[in-house]
Amino acid sequence: MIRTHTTAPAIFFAFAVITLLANESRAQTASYAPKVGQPHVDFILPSIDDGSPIQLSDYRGKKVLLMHFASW
Amino acid sequence: MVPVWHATIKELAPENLAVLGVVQEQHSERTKLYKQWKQYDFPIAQDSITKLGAAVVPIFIGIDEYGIVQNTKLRPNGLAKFLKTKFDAPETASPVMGKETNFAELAEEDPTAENLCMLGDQEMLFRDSGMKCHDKAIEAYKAALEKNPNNGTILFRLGAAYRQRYDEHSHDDADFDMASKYWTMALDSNPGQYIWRRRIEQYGPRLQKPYPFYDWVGTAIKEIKERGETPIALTVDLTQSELANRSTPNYSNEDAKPESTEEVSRDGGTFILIESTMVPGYVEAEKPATIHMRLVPKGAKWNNESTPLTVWIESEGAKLSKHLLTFDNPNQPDSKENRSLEFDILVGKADKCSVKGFALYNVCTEDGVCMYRRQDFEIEVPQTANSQD
Repeated sequence: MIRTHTTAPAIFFAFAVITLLANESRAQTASYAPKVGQPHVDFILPSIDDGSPIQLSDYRGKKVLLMHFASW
Repeated sequence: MVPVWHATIKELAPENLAVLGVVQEQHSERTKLYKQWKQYDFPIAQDSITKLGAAVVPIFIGIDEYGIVQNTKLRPNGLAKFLKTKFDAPETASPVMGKETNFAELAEEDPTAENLCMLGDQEMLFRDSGMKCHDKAIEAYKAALEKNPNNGTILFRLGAAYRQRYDEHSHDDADFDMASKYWTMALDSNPGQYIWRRRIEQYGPRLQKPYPFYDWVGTAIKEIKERGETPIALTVDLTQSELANRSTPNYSNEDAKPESTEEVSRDGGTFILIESTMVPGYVEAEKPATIHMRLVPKGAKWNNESTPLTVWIESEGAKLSKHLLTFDNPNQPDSKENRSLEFDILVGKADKCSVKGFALYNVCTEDGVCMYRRQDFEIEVPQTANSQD
């Protein structure tokens, strides 16, 4: 018999956005929820073009339009 | 919405604005194709593991020169005002993320769930261990789960690591199984997480609406070629479940069962191995799931000069979107590719449920002996989390 694998239920506990300060790290435990008047959490993610790091704080000095979207 | 934004930015051509996209996508080349098609000229970062924790898309945020969020629901008709507004510098500078953190050292020195998860994230996003990055990520996420077994974020990312390893080099159904398993667990932990739900739907049934996923791909390729360009090649083929034409399964189908197959000599898995994965990882009564079948040549090649691969499936405890599955022969005499077939299943209230069937195929061994074979199989369908092993 070909068996498909099964799963267990899980209780939600979110931790998500990571902020790394200069010499220490902190893992925040909240979903993405930017608030007006607060700093946007800094992040480093790979570019879709070549995988090179893109860091939000590198854009300081300019206004930023940050667009979260999907290609599906 | 993004195309509207793009047109607005082109029109205003603001000098003091940086545009940055963050895309929820497992396969970067699919976004690259989309970007090429739409001729976007702004950088796009890939968040394949919901690193930022976004639960929905799209989101459009206006951030000032100091890194302060000034608008969380920016609209194209509000861009001009955002650009003209002068914002004051904050008393303290916004925190900046360190670029040189050694996540492996961090996790070794202080192996908390958070640090282990960040190590996995680093491997997934930046592939520090090259071809072994998925192995390392899986190891790190599993260690993180030991510390925090019910964390939906870790569960989702572990699933993403398995699926990426499956797509990029293992092509092992066990990895797909594990991805389905952990994504299902993650979604169970937080049913409102839209991005996770979409990941399940991407390989499973359309649970609520007939969303298209990648129907745009064909149009994009055609239009890019018409412009005289070469479209970005997709390294991972689209599955049937990623296209909208599978969104309305017909559970009342009347496919005709192949006749006179009882006498066909059986293959017990010597020539072709049959595997399956279900998405989500288990089904509940009256809720659809998708079963992905995979036929893997082991001791033989497909013989493409005879009748094509045919699979018959039936079930006493469930309705099936199809009973007869076929795979068109490629344009070469023989081949050794893995063959994928999909169908949807809708389970009633039966305690136990399985899908039984048989595959009919023509294969040739390496020394040139060709044969027609039938392989019988039964796919067990796990029902609800309580019925699992």
